[in-house]
Amino acid sequence: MKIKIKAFGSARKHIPGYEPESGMELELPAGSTIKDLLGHLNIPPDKGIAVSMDGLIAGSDIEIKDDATIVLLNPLAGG
Amino acid sequence: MKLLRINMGSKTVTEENVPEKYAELGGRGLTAVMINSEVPPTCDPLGPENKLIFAPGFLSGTSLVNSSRISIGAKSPLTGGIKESNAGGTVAAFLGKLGIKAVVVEGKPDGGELFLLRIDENGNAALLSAENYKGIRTYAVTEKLLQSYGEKNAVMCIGPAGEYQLASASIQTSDVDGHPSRAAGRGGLGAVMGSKGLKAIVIAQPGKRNDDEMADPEAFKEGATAIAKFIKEDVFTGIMLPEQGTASLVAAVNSMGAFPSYNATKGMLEGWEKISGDALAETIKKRGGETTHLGCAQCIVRCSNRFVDEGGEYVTSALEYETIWSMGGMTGISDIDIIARLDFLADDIGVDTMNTGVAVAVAMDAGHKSFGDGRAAIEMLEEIARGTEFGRVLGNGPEAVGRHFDHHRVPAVKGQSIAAYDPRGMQGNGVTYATSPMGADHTAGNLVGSYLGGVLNPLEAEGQVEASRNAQIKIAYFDCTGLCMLVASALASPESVDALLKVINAKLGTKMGHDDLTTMGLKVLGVEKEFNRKAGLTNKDDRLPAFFHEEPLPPHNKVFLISDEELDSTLN
Repeated sequence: MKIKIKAFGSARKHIPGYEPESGMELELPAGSTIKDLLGHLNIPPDKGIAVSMDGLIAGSDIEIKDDATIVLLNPLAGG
Repeated sequence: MKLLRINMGSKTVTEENVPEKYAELGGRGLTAVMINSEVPPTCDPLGPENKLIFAPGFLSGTSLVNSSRISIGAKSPLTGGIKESNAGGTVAAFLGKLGIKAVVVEGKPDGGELFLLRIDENGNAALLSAENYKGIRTYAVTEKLLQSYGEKNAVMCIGPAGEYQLASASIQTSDVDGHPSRAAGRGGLGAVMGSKGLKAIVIAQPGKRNDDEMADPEAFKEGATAIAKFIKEDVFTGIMLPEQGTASLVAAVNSMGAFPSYNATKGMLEGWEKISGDALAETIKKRGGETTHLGCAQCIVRCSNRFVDEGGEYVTSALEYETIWSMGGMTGISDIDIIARLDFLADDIGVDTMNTGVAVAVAMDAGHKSFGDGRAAIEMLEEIARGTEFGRVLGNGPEAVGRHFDHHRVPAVKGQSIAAYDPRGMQGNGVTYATSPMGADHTAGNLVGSYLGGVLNPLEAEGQVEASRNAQIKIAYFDCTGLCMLVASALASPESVDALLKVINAKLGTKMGHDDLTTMGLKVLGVEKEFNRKAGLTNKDDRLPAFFHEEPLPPHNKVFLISDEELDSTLN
């Protein structure tokens, strides 16, 4: 399945060559989870990157939907 | 330590030893208790009976990092209830080092004269004429005062909006660079300062820290070292905030569909990526400005920035998330240069960026100007400075603008605008807006970290009241310490709270434990609610405007789900 990825803040450092304007597209096997995606991108779980899928925060076991937009975000506490 | 009482009616300054009952209080806790016991709750907020209290936290002035936050308290002309507005800069560290627990400004001059309060390096205070500063904006006043008294002084001052006694007027404090760019913005306390004829307070940089005030200096040092380590090692305070400041939240909250935009009719701003933390940091660096900037005394986080124009000239400092939202998201403006200019203007005129951005948005929503019209927004703020009829309406905040245009969609509680989290997209923040004794206030109990961390679903009612309650209690005690709320997340583990207790007990000579901090937070909230009740506020004031219950917010198309009964249970 195909997904779209947008990355912000420190998450960008984990994606070499990331283009902020266009984001990136990725092919993943059907049934992949958020944890699988982070593994695919070599983002260690202890970096605290928050992930949203189609506007909803998604935990590591959530299954990714086909054609989803995934946003990788800084962990934040509020300002 | 001592209290300074400044009577603006008799033009006298008196010093008092701190009464025993106030000894363990500081910051918000001290202003709350003093206002509740000394200010008649039904008084005119702009009359002589109101008191304006400047109180550093009880850890301010010590060697502890990130402890230079000042609480300014009074009865608010905006909310009609008690108010604590909290600002950074250098003033809290200076007052703490001078051994001044609070400056209490009382009474009111008869003849409309204008004064400045000078506090010298020995902590002695004197009232001086400020007639030659009448009508002058905050950057110019601060520059002149620092020229006169020396660049190392700290300044708190009001601009034209405070002199006009407008309900959105702020009190600006100087940062490490001497810019009046840190604001006690909320609740219109600049109007209270203006009503008292006080244009500015100038505080000399103190000499050596007075450790006589410390019950156990060795234990304090151990605890303070541990706290600095927790802050440095935390991902949020050690990496994220230094890199992008609070502007990181633009991406997060838009991605969650909870960024109130176009006067809270949408949950995402078109073009928000142009004003994200990444875009802001890139622009600043490209132009030779500064990220990871030191704004407040003793700060090791450095969430501040120095925004410059294309020619590299200073525009404003600490362009922050809430202002990017109020002057950008709410107004539909996605031009970071316009937003930065609006931030500067608000600081310079002396108005709360949030209440004012939302007031502009309500005017745009009512058809006065179009969303996205940056030039019109700048002109509207200039009208506040000129004191035109519309400028005064705008400077009195979103409810005044709503009444002016007979427009129903006014995102405010107790007269104070919401912050950059829509209650329909982050239900628990709606609980905080509704029930905080301060009016709609994100700093009173913000749950965005819980939503991003996936521990609470922002779109469902379940768990929101309890989460808001706990956050409100925690921040209420945190605001007593003088610590910046941005380091609260780094001080959440039991070990880090032990370190916090160690410095508190070492400073105050107490034996507090974890439960005592909760008790402190509950006490502060209880006193604030008691004052509000005596001032005439009821549970009917602890409600969000009807449109949040009736108009679904795209993209999730949710309304605010928390019932009145649940809201009433939050702090009762």
